[in-house]
Amino acid sequence: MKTHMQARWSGFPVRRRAVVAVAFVGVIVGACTSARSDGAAGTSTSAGVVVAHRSGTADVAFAGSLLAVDDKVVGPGFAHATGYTYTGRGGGSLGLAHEIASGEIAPGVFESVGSAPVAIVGSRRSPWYVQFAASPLVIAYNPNGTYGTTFERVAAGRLPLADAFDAMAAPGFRLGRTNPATDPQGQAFVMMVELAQRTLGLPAGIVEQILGPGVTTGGTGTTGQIFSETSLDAHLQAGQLDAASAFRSQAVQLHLHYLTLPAAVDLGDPADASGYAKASLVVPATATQAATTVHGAPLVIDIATVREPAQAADDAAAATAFVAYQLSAAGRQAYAAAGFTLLPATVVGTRSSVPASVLAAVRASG
Amino acid sequence: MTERSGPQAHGATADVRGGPGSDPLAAATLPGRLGAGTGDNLHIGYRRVSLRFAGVTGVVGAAAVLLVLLGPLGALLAHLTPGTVRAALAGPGALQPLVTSVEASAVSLGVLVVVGTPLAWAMARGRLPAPRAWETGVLVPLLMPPLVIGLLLVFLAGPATPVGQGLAHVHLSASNTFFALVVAETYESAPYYVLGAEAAFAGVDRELEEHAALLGDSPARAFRRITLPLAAPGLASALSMAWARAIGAFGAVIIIAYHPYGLPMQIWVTLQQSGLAAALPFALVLLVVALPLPLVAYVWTARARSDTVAGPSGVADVAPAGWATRPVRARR
Amino acid sequence: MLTADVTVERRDLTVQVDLTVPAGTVVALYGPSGAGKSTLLAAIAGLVPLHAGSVWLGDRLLATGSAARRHAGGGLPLRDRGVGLLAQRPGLFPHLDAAANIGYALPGGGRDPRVGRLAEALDLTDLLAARPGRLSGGQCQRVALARVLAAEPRVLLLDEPFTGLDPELRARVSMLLAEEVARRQVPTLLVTHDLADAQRGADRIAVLDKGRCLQVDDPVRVVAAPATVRVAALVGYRALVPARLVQGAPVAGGRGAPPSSSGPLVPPGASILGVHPDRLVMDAGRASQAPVTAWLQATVTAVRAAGAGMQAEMELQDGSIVPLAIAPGVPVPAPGERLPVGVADAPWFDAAGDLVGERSEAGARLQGWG
Repeated sequence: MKTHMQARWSGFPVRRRAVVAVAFVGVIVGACTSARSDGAAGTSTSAGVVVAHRSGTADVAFAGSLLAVDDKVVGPGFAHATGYTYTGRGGGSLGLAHEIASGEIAPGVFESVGSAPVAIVGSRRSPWYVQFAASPLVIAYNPNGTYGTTFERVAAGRLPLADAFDAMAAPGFRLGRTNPATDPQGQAFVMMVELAQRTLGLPAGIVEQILGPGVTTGGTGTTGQIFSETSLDAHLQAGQLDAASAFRSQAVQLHLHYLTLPAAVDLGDPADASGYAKASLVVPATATQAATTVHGAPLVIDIATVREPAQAADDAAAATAFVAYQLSAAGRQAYAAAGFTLLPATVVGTRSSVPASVLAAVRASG
Repeated sequence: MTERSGPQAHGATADVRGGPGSDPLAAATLPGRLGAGTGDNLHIGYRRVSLRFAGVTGVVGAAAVLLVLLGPLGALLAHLTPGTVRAALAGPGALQPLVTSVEASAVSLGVLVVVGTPLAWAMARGRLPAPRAWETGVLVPLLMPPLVIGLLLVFLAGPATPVGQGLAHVHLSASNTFFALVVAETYESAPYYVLGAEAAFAGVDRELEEHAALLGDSPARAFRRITLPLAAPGLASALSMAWARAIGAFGAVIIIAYHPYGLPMQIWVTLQQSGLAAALPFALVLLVVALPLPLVAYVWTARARSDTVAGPSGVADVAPAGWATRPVRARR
Repeated sequence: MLTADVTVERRDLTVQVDLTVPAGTVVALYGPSGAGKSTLLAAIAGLVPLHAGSVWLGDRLLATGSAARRHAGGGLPLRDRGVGLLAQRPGLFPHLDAAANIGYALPGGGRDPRVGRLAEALDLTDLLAARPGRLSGGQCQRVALARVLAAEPRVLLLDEPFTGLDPELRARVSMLLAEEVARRQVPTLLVTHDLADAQRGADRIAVLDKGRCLQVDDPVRVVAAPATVRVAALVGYRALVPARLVQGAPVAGGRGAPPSSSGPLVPPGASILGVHPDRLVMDAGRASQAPVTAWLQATVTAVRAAGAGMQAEMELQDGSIVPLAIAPGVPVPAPGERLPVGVADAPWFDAAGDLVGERSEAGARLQGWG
């Protein structure tokens, strides 16, 4: 980036370039400082015996909503406990799955929200996965917005939940959500509104009033509501939205005000899977994909190793160790603290190819 | 206008630049030349040999750099087949983002030309109070990562801000609208145009404008007849750079203008939704749309340069110095 | 008539000059590099702000210094001044061909008939389609001059117009300039560091040094009667000899019969004699016809060819070295030989360096002596 800029700016006077250089130094110093504080936060959680360093890197790709808990708590804890190196990268679950499937990236571990992304990765790379937590949806809201008091009262139980949905259906209400075409949360939020309409006995048209016409039938809905995963919380925190879609874990980490939803609506309880399946959404066709109908399913966190022929043995071992650590008491506790609902660990897929250490951790989780 | 040695001095500098310097090959052939002929011959010999030397190392080096720079482009073309491109572009609404991008970038550039050109001229001619402050102000959007620009625009012009409410009065919103896209693109591309245009204007020798004035031109007429034509290649390259930045803007766009999709958002969303293979054709579209203008501007600039600066002698004293370097202004 | 009484502050120099150029005359600004000639020209053109003073063209106030600026706004805008400036750097417009450059100020542009006439006069006809980048330095100079003349300015300011021109073109350019000045009665200032150019093209010469005008005079008197020793040094006097070394008659040991000199040897108050190489004589026979003011003892240090004749390098008693042309038919001296040399009609200066006596008569006599 810097050389690119130098080339472009060579036409400008020296003193101006000096200004640029000084500013760069400022940015870099700032970046270093924040990196240092991150590191401190990561190591502060772990204590105890020092484990010898082992070669092998657990390269973990995870859904963006897991970024904070993985990078700051689970990753450093794993590195401290096992001696392996941890690197993590976050992104949209579906996007990451496509990148893994096409060979653009080759992480050792994949953690996604919902099982659809693991299916995209394919059974050749990931013949099994373990469900171990759920990520219920909430509605994060801006307490200072036009509808702030309504939401505060609903949150305090002084108004029925239906009032919150009525507010969201009001003209001029500024709702934010993510793109159903790329983000499972974006799909889940639409289906959550559908489930709320059924469960809370709201008027039939309210789904389209809140989300825009055609939102469940292959249309785009109100596109002005759609923001990137990266920026949705920023828009809410900047006070530019009245309410936004969020996982409970996000709302907890970012100290957002949020409405907890009933289990039948929040897509966070595997026991309600059959109820969730009644909600559905058509994802529009693209050049390479036909339109697909997605049905509601619990927002379960899945973890799997990703096998590549070229993978080093050390890295494969580190990947397996990461999964085992994630399923251990420490790994599960970190998720519980971060706002996820813990589930009994369940293996899905080819059980015979699950490593013994992972199976042991699954059994231990109860 | 100070006393200066004029053309001769300029010529001498140019010769030193073209001369061998520490070029060992040229130095080795020097004695033979010394015996052979006049100073002129000697001089030409120098130059020819150093050119040949520069030719060998230069071509190899340049080719290496070019290969590295064009690597991604090669990779892109290698992974595309006509079939996939056709399929991608034939999809329903597949070309709408292209239209959106072109329209938004054109509006951005229009705004930049109207607002940025006078600003660049005033900066180049030192007509503004506190010139450093202006320069810094123009640099700020360049120094901030586009993502940060986007986030700050949320705070500045989001619907709940005073600016956003003001915009609402004229039925505009800087959040997920075409207008938001234009705003994001303008922020990302403005420094490239303003600073590029400033350099282009600064490159026009002020003495030429003074001569035009002495010959009877009003400032506006001198600007049209002298400043603008001489700055035109620089302005064009600044504009084309800004075009490429605007149409490729992503960081600020993804924050405040997720919709309507322009090309970069289309690439991003397609990548997320369907993977790289489906996204690449749109990357090609982006290149095809973003590149021609800069290329045309480059070719034009190069031609204008060779037109005005070429010639065996009398070069440095007539070419506006800024075409190649910053002008050497006579101190008054 | 152009009247300039200006003070210009330059970083290293203050230029303060009071100068008048009558209509139809050429005044040369002559002086060494860095004397402030071009600065003065730029100030009159309006490219450099005046620190004080004013520039008038007839009854039009072109420029005025800071004291009066509040009322006059610093003078006329450049485009209304009617100044034709040929700057040292020609400043041609690089994107226009020579014809368009010349015709820049004309209604017909490069196709105006005046362009063709000027191009013909300056031998530029074949170059009209060329852009400045393809022209040589001298060609650019002529195009720039044509551009200035085509605009028919009310005052001409020419900075070294003859630089880079071969002798034939020099003659052509100076003839064209003389015609233009006479025909349109334009006051003209011509900057040059070459005395011959100044004498050839100008009606009067203003000698500039370190930002001050030392003397304004006609081309003959500037050399014949330099106002100070500094002017003398600038116009070619090579030695300034103390009076005690000057003799009324050649000392024995020289060749030929010593001529007698008449008149007072050293005028009252004079203490320095200016020695110009062009006024040295060695031939005793001819010297008797020339108004030899004084004789000096000299030693030949070298003899060399100069043009078609010979030249001896003479070391005077004060150590200064003066070249001396040896007239045809005069025997060439040998290096080391001691000779008396006569100084014809030389100016005397007092101890402060100012000219002694009224020299108008001397100037007239000098012309006759040729």
